[in-house]
Amino acid sequence: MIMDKELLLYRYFSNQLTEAERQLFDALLEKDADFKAQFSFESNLKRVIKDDRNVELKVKLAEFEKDVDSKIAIEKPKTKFRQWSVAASIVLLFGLGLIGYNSFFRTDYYDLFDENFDQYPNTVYTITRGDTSESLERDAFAAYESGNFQKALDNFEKIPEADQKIYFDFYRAQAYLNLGDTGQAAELFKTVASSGGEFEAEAQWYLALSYLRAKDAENTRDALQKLTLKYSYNKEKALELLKELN
Amino acid sequence: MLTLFIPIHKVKEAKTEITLDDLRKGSDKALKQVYEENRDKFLNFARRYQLSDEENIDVYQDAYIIFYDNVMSGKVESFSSSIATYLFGIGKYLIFDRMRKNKKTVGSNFNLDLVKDDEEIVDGLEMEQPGLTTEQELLKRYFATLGKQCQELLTLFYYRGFTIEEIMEHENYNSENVVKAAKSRCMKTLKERIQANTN
Repeated sequence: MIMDKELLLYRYFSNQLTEAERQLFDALLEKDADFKAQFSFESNLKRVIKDDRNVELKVKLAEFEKDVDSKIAIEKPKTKFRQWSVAASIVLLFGLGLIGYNSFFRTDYYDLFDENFDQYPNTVYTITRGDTSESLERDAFAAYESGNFQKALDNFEKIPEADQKIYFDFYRAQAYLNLGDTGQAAELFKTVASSGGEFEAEAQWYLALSYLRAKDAENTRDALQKLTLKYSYNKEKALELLKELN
Repeated sequence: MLTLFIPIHKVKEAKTEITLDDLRKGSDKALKQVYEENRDKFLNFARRYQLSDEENIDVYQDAYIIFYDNVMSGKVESFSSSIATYLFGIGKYLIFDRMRKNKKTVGSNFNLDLVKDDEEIVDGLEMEQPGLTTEQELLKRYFATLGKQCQELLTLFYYRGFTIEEIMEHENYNSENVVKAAKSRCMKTLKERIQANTN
């Protein structure tokens, strides 16, 4: 019997209790004082070890944060260098009698887009383990998370009108943008950006990126300016991008 | 003009996919990569609430630690949701908690319905981090006096959720019985030290 109790505790702490064992475990906890004392000792030990590990982890994360800071510090002078190099190339170009002016100054939209685009993560629908509800929303977000954007779109479209939520448009637009359909993406982002609800600022940013991807400099600038005036979301990035486009 | 559309996710440089196993094995590289990959997204997202950037970084780190603890304790067994979804879910919970504590009101432009969805993710996880009880403080003090091997073994078992067999392989023990005996000895020493000093 002693072995059984030990085994039960072992299986509890290694997450292996079966349903029947769980019942036995609960019963023992109720009526066996020694078992309860041992369980509470081990639980406390687990908590204490976790506490120690979390302190260590916090130190590590602080180190990572320092690295991020120094990376930003390194990147900033690079931008300065870039400005200088642009200035230098202007001088050089005039010196060369403007030979190749167009090819030097053509904005590389794809590069700019790639530098700035990050697929927005699913932050609205939790796909939990063992979630068996086969809702269309779940399927749509599961497809979105796995990068299957066409399937995500198909599933979003299938959701009945009555069940449509405001944030669907934001994620549908994301899917279109990922598929390269900037027209559809821009239309939807515009709707979300003017909806006055969740993702308003984010949609404004991605609207700018949709235009950028479509090489539409004028609308990109407009959208970015609106973003910097109205929101703090990605403001620095937007200002940086505006500089590149001007 | 002919424009060639290439799906963007294919153009982007493929990063090494981090698996739950990498994290669980305690890889620092994985820990750092996941931290960096989600940091900016998280901070951008958190900016819509009324906390300072410094507080947001703090929340991000707390959310990250809670996520990591839950990976370790086996509460997160597979990435059926992406890591970002977990971090955002936990983060949102922590932000609202802080705002409540700071007595900041939640503005009308925050859709509180979304929090309901996050509850689902938070429900399955261990979120509470109350301070240590007197008993636990005592245990903490004596745990620190154990030999390195004992500390490591108990950490593998109680924090990382390793089975006896996994510990045997990880630490090069000869058999499962040797691991069991070592664990019993460590626990006995710990109990004896506490008793000797509290009686």
